[in-house]
Amino acid sequence: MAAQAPRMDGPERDTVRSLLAELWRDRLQPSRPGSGRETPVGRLVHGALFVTATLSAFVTIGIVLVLIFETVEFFRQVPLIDFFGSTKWSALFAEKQFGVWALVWGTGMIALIGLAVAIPLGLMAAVFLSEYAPPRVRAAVKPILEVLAGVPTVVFGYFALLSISPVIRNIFGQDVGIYNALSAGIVVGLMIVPIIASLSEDAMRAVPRSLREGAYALGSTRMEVSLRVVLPAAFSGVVASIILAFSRAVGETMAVTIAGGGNPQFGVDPLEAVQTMTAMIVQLSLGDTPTTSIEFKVLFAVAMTLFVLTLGMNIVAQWVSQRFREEYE
Amino acid sequence: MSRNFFGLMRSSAPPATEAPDAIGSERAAPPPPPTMKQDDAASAGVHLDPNLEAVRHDFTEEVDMALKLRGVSAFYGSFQAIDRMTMPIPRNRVTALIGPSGCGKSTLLRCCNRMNDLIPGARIAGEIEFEGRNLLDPTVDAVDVRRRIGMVFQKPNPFPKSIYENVAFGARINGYSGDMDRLVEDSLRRAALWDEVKDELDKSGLALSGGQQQRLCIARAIAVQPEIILMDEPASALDPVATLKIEDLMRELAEHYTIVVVTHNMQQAGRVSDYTAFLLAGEERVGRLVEFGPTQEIFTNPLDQRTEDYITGRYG
Amino acid sequence: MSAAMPSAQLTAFAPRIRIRRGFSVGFMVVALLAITVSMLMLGALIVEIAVDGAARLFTDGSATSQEVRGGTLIDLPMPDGMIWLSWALPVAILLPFFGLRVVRSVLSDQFARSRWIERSIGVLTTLPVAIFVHILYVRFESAYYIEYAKAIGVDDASGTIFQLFGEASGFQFVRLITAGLILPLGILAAGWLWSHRLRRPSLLLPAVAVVAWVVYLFLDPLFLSSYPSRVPAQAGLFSAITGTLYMMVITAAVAFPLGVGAAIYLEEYARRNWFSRMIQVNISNLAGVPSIIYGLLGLQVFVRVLEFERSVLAGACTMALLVMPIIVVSAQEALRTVPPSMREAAYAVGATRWQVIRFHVLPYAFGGMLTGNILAMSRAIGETAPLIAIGALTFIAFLADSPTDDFTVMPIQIFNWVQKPQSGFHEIAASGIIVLMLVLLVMNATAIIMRQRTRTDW
Repeated sequence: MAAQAPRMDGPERDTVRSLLAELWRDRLQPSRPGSGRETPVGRLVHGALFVTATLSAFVTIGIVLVLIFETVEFFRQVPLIDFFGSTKWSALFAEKQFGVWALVWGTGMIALIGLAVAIPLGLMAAVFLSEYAPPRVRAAVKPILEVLAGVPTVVFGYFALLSISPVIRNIFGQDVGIYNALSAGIVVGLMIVPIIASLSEDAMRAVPRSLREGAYALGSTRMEVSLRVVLPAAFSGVVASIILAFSRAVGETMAVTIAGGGNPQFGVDPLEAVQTMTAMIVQLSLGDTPTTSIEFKVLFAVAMTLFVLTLGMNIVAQWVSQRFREEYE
Repeated sequence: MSRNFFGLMRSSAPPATEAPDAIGSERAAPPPPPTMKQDDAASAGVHLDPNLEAVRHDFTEEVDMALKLRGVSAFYGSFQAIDRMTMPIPRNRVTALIGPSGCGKSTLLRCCNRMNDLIPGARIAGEIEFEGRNLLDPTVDAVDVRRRIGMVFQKPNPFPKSIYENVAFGARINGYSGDMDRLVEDSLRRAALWDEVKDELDKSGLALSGGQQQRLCIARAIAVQPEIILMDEPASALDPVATLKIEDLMRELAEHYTIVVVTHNMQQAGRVSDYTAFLLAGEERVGRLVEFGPTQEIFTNPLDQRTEDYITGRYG
Repeated sequence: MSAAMPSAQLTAFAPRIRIRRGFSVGFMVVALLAITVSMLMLGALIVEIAVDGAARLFTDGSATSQEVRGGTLIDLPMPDGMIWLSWALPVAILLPFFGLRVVRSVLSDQFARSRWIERSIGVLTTLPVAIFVHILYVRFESAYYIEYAKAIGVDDASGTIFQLFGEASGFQFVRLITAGLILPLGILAAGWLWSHRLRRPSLLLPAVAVVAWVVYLFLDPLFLSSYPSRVPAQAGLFSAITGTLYMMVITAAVAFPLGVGAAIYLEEYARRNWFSRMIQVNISNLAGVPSIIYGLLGLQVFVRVLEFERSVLAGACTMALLVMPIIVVSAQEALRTVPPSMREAAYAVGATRWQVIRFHVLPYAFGGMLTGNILAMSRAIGETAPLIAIGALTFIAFLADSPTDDFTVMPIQIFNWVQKPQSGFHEIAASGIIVLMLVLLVMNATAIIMRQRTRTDW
């Protein structure tokens, strides 16, 4: 039972004074009743950190205010119907037309071409990395994907204009313009492959091992497990990654400015030059437009459209990944 | 110190008259659990707190109290973890908290130095008297409480820094400006670790073995010169040899410090502790104090049938 | 009897089971093919750019090629005074701090604990890199001083340094100190920490330095140290490189504290209430806002309202807002890797919340935060659109003297060259891309290595 320690009660205990207590004597700060739980520096830091955290809210408010302010100015001069009810865009000509659908169409076309390239490549890469690749290959390919995602878009623009366009012209004939939607769309696709691959792969790896093992135990092949079990199980993540990639493609600027051409039009031919919303903003920014001019204001109206579109897609992506997330315990 | 804990000595005086006063000042009274037989108790002329009965009458005789818990309840959100625990923690003794898993031992321990403040949604009601003040009082500085009531955790958790820095950290942030080398050396000696590490004080604390790490954590705790050291199953992650060392250490430390140790291991409680509290969770998983008293008596002559069942191994 | 039944059933069953391993292999082949195709396209991109760009970026050493370009190869003399100053100043500033500590630790018995041998080796291994970076920087700087010497009519640039100090603006002065202070000493300090973590010297950094030296020997100094020109053969990336450098320094200085601060607040201080949730959702939405919209925000707020004009400062602030969500998210991830038991341990010895963060959480998570910051900076280096929106110029024939000067950056310069019809400009665009990609590659590699090194087992 308990090996009783020598008892040192009352005055006897005072004689047994530890070296530690000696060391600490007179250095003990008196108990600080009610002095708060933080040093002055700590309180200062707390306040400062709070300010930095709220800054992001102010950035959002700033973006919205800036966009709304000039957009409202724009719609004072140009009726809403001219903006949303027309497919003709000629902001820089004498006879100005502001049919935003020409730009939205150009944006959509390039983004869709991009998705057509990126979805098969990205999903295959994701399935391969998550289900097939040995750890070593994975460890090597993942950083490459990250680097690929970090390549400046100007570089992709160069690639589209000086490498892909000549190939397209060789295939479809020399009367195809050097600026066309197809080459821009292809590089946009390449650009968003890492997003789809990386996010989908994360979603697939989150599928629990037991699910895979259950399928294997029924005699499934690896492909069946990958495509029939893992992919559906990770479906919400995959869809969210595709929506996010689409949003990124819509907001992509430099490559489509360089390779897409500057021709806002409402045609279905991917070999024609088009202009996206972002490219239009760049075009107007490059010229010295006076801040009072209508061209300057339409910049913000288009940016507002772009902002609402991408924000909507991002929110949908978040909603999808949360609402349809399969919970595994 | 009061020999008459809570004014309650069942052997000498009937508790009914004085006990209600002792807990009458309790703020933020917890919602009464269904099992609480307040009316019955009152009508029977017994004190309001059923737990008080668990405190054995003959323990208070010659020790004074480091802590006095009165009606301590803890809640995590809407879940009540422990219910109105009332017990003393004798000074310069080892007190063991035993009981099956989930009976609130660790919760009770973490109440004693307000570590529960750090958990979002955690609430404590009741009173813990420490040097004449209620340390659960919102005006009491939790940081100061933690300096004076140290803690050692279940899994050794040295900082990823040198051994020296591990020990010196607490003293430094608490404004110690004396001879740091001596303080480190003395703390490590106290923790029975000095001889093993004195030549490699700049080695990472993580490079030590599990048992050494735990002793480093103990050295870290005593370097700030606390009055009480709380230990949350300090030996459960260690091998038997290291466990034995920790137990020896606890006995030695008890000369200078009050130690409260949570343990799953009955033999350990028997070996190291002077006093033992047995806690048990009821059907609704709310932990309650069943019995408190000198270890020897708890183990050889328990008052409560449940204690006996547990000690003889009838609960898991 | 009963045993015969299942076996009969099995045989009846057997033909239906087909192991379709072929599909599996087929899929793997297709997937591999897809990855190969994308890698090949990436490879094609690299080759294309390398072939086009190398011609201008590397010198073949013959005098004729220099003459064809119409440029004269000036072997940039480095002003002696500047070299001495840029080393002496930081040393003079840092010596009191470090020297005192070293002396104190030698005098006390803590000397044995300071691991000075390992650390000295660590510093020595990084010394070549530090010197290389320093010389590279001085080389750039000296071009500026030579211009300046010409402008004030002095032939010998080495003499101008002291004249210059008489009229140097604050920014020039800061720039000069930066040459010695931040870059080489930063690298040496990294070596110091490096050795502490590694416990044995690594040959990686000296190897990097050697490779960099070799590449540097073959580089055509004209391209990297010439201003833009209407003639492709004479155009260079000088103002774009320096512009990028200045912008990055300011961007990091603005974005890192803000982003890390927000992350610390959200992870360590904020309660789980509507406010912190709102901020969190807001940050993830900000990360998805197209970069050009940040440009318009910067145009209205920094350029027009705050009247920074089209300056380095306006560009850097815009960029800081753009990369802040990335920094916040990565810093939050880094903070989440800090084990809760460590926080508890620190609280249990009586640390306040800020002390826990300052002494335990931040040191533990700092590597991860820095990694995120490097990745964010590599994003900022490549961004073009927001800077075009705020109106950064493409033809800058001078160096920024202060944060309020006009500027250009590498991607804008490349964009400008790509858009020109002459193929000569396309070639130097490729050269510019090589430089840009090399910088990015180095940054990304650093981030990835750091992420793997700082992963601490608990």
